[in-house]
Amino acid sequence: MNDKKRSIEEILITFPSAKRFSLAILQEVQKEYKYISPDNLKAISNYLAIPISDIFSMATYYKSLSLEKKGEFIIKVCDGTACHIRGSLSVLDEVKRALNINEGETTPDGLFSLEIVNCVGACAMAPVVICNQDYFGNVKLGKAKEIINSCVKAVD
Amino acid sequence: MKFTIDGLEISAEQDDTIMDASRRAEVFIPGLCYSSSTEPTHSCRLCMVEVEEKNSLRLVAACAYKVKENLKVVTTTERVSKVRKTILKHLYSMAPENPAIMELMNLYKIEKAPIIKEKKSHCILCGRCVKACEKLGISAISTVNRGVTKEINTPYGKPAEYCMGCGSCSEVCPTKCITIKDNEEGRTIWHKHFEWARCEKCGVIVTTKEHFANSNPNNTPVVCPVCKRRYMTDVFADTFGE
Ligand code: SF4
Ligand code: SF4
Ligand code: FES
Ligand code: FES
Repeated sequence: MNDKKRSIEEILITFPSAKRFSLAILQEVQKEYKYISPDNLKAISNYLAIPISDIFSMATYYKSLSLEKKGEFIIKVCDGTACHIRGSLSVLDEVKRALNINEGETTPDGLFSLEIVNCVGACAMAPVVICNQDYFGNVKLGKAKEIINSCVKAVD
Repeated sequence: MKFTIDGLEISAEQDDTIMDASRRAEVFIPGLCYSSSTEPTHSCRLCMVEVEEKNSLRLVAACAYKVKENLKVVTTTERVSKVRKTILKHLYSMAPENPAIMELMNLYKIEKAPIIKEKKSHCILCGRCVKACEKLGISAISTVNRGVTKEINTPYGKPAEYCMGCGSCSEVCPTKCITIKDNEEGRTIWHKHFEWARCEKCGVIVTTKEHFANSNPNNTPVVCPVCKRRYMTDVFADTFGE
């Protein structure tokens, strides 16, 4: 997890310089740096020769892109109807307490961000918590900490 | 090419939309995002009319639908007024009491719905300003965010590097909601302050310094149109010894 990040130039060079790649590049930059920094925004705009305002517009439109640095692990607590009925808010509370942050925030060590999502299509196993690519279903009360720890371990 | 709007015959040119031709012929179809000089955004949907196709009527946006020979357009049907009413009410909720919207509400005798929330801006997100700035080759502004927080702004809400303070965005804005402050010293628009370029001969304001520099060759002296004409007359007088 601590291997060196690719530079913005290294990322850009893997894409042709054409407008239709703007979203793909933004996603790649988001993945690498966990956010779109002002400098990187400018670099993308220069590389594709499209106005900064256009790139900024995209960066603020898509939910998967952010202008503020997100954690290495993004914990999503589903609060869709099914999960809600099956106690997602208590799960959310637990996660909040475990990480000591609110939804939309990132821990000071830059490890975790917390988000609420609306139905991830896994209602049968409600309530659902997602950590990066991993889904956790039928989350019982008191399990939040365990889930968080297991994510960190899997990567270490 | 000829076609009719509510039975009235109108002529159109190749590639005209219904809106292009009707505005030229001074037949009024409402539309807040339309402008003959900038690229269309087709966003306000106020221009809905019906066209006759295969013996039935179809709702289309007048600013998007290309005129065909002998096309029949109708704007007085029940369906058109219903759609128009719904859209105007929606626009009213985005820009309550805005003069441009009120004018249309009054014209079509539409009652105001109670204002649910005071709006901090009367922007109806039509996108005309963005297109106007884009056409100038500047693109200093764009839509930012999505959903209820969507707005028009510069990147990061900071002074945009290339904005030249020309005011074109504000000029085309149908609801006149872009804050532009002009005084003796200069102009403030989009978080940025500009100094005036004043006529070297008489001192009147020509435009902002940046706008002048962007629209003239390097080192062009700032001279207002009036003084320029006077100056040219002097040159002629000198040359022809009158
Ligand atoms: S004032 Fe600035 S933002 Fe507005 S059209 Fe001119 S350059 Fe674009
Ligand atoms: S600021 Fe004016 S021109 Fe620009 S999108 Fe809003 S209403 Fe339209
Ligand atoms: S409501 Fe949570 S997965 Fe559907
Ligand atoms: S004028 Fe046609 S959609 Fe606005």
